Amino acid sequence: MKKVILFLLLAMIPFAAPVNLDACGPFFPVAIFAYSMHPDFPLASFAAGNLGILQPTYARSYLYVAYRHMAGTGFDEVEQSDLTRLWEERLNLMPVDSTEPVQEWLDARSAVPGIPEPESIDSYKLMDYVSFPNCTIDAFASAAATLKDRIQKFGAANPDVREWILAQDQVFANCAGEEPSIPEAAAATVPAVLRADRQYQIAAAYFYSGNYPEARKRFQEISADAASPWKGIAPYLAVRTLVREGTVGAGIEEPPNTEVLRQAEQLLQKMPDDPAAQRLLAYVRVRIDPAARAHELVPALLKSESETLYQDLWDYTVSLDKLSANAPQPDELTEWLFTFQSDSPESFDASLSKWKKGAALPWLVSAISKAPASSPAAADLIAAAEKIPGESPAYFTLAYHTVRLFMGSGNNDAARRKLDALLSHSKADLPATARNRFLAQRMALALNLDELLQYAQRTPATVGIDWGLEMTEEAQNYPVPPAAILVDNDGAAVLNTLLPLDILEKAARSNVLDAALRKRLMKAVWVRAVMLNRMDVAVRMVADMQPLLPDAAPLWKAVLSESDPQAARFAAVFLMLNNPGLEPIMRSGLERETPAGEMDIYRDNWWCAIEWTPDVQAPFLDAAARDTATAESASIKDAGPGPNFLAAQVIQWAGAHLDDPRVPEALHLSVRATRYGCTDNATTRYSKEAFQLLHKNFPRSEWAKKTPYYY
Amino acid sequence: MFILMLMTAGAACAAAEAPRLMLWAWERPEDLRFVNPRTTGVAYLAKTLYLKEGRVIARPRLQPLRIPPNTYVTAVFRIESDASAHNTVQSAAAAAAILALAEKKEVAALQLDFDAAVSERPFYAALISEVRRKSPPQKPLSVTALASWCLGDRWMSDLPVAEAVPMLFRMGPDGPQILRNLARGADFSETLCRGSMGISTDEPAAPMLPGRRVYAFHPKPWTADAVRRLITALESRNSP
Repeated sequence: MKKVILFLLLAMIPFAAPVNLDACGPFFPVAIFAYSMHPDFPLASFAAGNLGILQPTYARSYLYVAYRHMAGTGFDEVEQSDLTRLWEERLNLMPVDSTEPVQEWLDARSAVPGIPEPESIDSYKLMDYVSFPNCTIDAFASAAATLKDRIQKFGAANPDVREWILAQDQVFANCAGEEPSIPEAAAATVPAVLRADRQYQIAAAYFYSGNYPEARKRFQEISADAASPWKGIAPYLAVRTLVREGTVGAGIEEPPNTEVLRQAEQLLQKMPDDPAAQRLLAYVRVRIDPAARAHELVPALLKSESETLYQDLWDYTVSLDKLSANAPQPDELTEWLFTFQSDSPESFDASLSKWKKGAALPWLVSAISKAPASSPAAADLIAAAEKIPGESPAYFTLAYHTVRLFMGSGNNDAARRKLDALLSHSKADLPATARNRFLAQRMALALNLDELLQYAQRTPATVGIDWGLEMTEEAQNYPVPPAAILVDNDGAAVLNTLLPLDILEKAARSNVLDAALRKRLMKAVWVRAVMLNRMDVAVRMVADMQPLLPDAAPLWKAVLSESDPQAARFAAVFLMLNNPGLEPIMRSGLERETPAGEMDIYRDNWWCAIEWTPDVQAPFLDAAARDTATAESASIKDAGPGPNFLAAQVIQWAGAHLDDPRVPEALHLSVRATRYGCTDNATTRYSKEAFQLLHKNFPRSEWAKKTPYYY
Repeated sequence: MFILMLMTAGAACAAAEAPRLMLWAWERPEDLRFVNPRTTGVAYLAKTLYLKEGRVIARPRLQPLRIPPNTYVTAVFRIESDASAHNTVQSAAAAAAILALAEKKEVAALQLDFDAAVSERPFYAALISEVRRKSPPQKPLSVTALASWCLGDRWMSDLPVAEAVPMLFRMGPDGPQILRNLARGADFSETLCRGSMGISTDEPAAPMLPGRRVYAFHPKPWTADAVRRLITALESRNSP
């Protein structure tokens, strides 16, 4: 017997699943129907007050914006611009290219001919295993600007300018360098301004090399030098040495040295007119006392026409990250944020209590979003929500939970009426995510097949490769929305588990379905028909299937030519073996990327063992239909992965039809399927049996030669 | 049994040999001072290299990492790609970013982590070769590997690496079957993949295959308790 090499097969990620940056790829495009981490794109629309259906899982910067809109204080254009700038910076998953500011410096120094190339500059300094941005963008920009000025004053050929550059190279060598590189003081014959520059460069070199006390001493000396062009900025830089010392001085792993930072705080408080100093003060305060800092930022955050919204919101949310969600919060905004985000039963009680006291809209939203349908307060919450006008930024959030509570209490007619009104909103008014959430609710209330199909169809919020945080490059390219009409997990689950074959056939022919979805469903239903040995349905569907797989024309003809249903079934199985993209399920999201007639290189071929986890309903179905669907689903599941089913069918047919000229090829294709498709514990048995049948009965055939192993 | 294996390996191993248990420390604050350096090493994410629009953006580790002295440390370099065609400028820049840390005395070994598409394999192979050529020869170079690379796909066979770590987690629908096959005694066809295995503590792990080094990922910052539970779980898989 030939040596058998046992291969383990792997089907790579076949279904539209979200990508986890912590996992290994490869990464595939996905369809995202409803964001949970952030609102819909463009975020400018959210900043303007189109809040959609608020999620407690949104980052706090979004929830703050929602709170302010709900409290009646929106944002002007400048503030909205600040908000979108903050979000774009935070969502930028690709790091800032730190070589770009360096290039500005390199370009400036190249204006001096004959200057040697510097060592490569890395702006990050490594301490043990961790780095921090040591030389900032401003450092390179300032050096470039100063050099341009000195070249203009003294000329590019001036030897003192050359020395200036070499000294600056030494400064920047400290950005990443492990050993200090400190320039020498300039000679007394060098022009005064260049001598002063050198003093500044020496101080900077000490700063970047991590010798903060020495750097501080030198910046203080510069600040006392009336003739130095750097005396104005030197006091601020002296304080910066304290901030560095207090944050990374003892090592990145060590907690901040609050004593040193408080020294910096006191000095910065004496520079109220220096914007840079005030920004640094805010930075220090966040680290010294985040709780106090968060609270002191709230008045500014609730004030309209703010000029500091970007930095205030940044500092506020960073400070909140350091707070305990369970501690009492000293202001309403912070209390609302933590309460809305919490999923504890106490958070509902707290929200309800706050709403009852003051009837404030943010607390109504929080309370209704957490209310169980069985709560005695549900009716009052619904009544209050129904009074909120459609123009309110909270309208869609309140509507969603009103419907949820209607459904939870069995008031389905009221739920349907409300949803039908909501879904009549234009796409411009109703963000895609909100629309999809309402469609999911409406689908669960479908009164018949047409309604099920109508509400199962969704336009995703985005389609693309998710690099994390539910972000795709396509989403960033809004306003071009995806054109695809797809089904989400709930729609796919209903189609795959709750509908019997006869109803599925009607669905596959229904004009309610988008044409592309209809084609996808047609293929899935046809495969199901073959698997369930309903060749009456399968043969009837061939006319619809042929245009979908035109290259299989001869194989379709073979199916139609058989009067015996079992012969037709074998012909259908043979066709399936030649079309690895066929499967008995409707996928949620995107379909298989590779054309159905081609093998997928990531082994997304046929289907894997199907694990049904239905958590959906189709109340319009009668008991007989539900029972039939249950039995059929069980049969599909019991057939195992695609290669098992296909091989089993071929083996059975071959056993009684060795004279069928297709049998050798079919046996070869069966073994191939067990290599390139999904497997389970039984697959090897099928693979081996097909292999042995082929080699025993057709040993000199080309198919036996092409099948040296089983798997 | 697993502890005994770990300790035996730790007691006998030369300075250059990694322990049998390596903890992956990813881009989050990690305090691993509880780790026993005799039995456990750390493979930390040192840099992420983005291959984007014809250039390389290198992002160093910015989150704290604390390790006890004498711990065997592997610097891991994660490569992310925009899937466009890559060029020699990127290859040189990526190699330089990796080699910048290769000389660090605290780093005992290097590991590359790149889910290269088929079209990216030539680029990746060339990068691996350059890093191996220019890095200290006494520092082993390894790569992570998709399970499919270890099963019938021979593209790694000639790579100049000490080991390829098959990632036995986040494998997709057929993952459970692979683990079952391994439990029944099946093995990877690629020999580079037979020296180690990569697991995640939040997914069922493969059985303790004989002589394999285990690289473990934890979805949250590591704690002493999490490591203890991991060792216990691995021991139970190793038991007859």
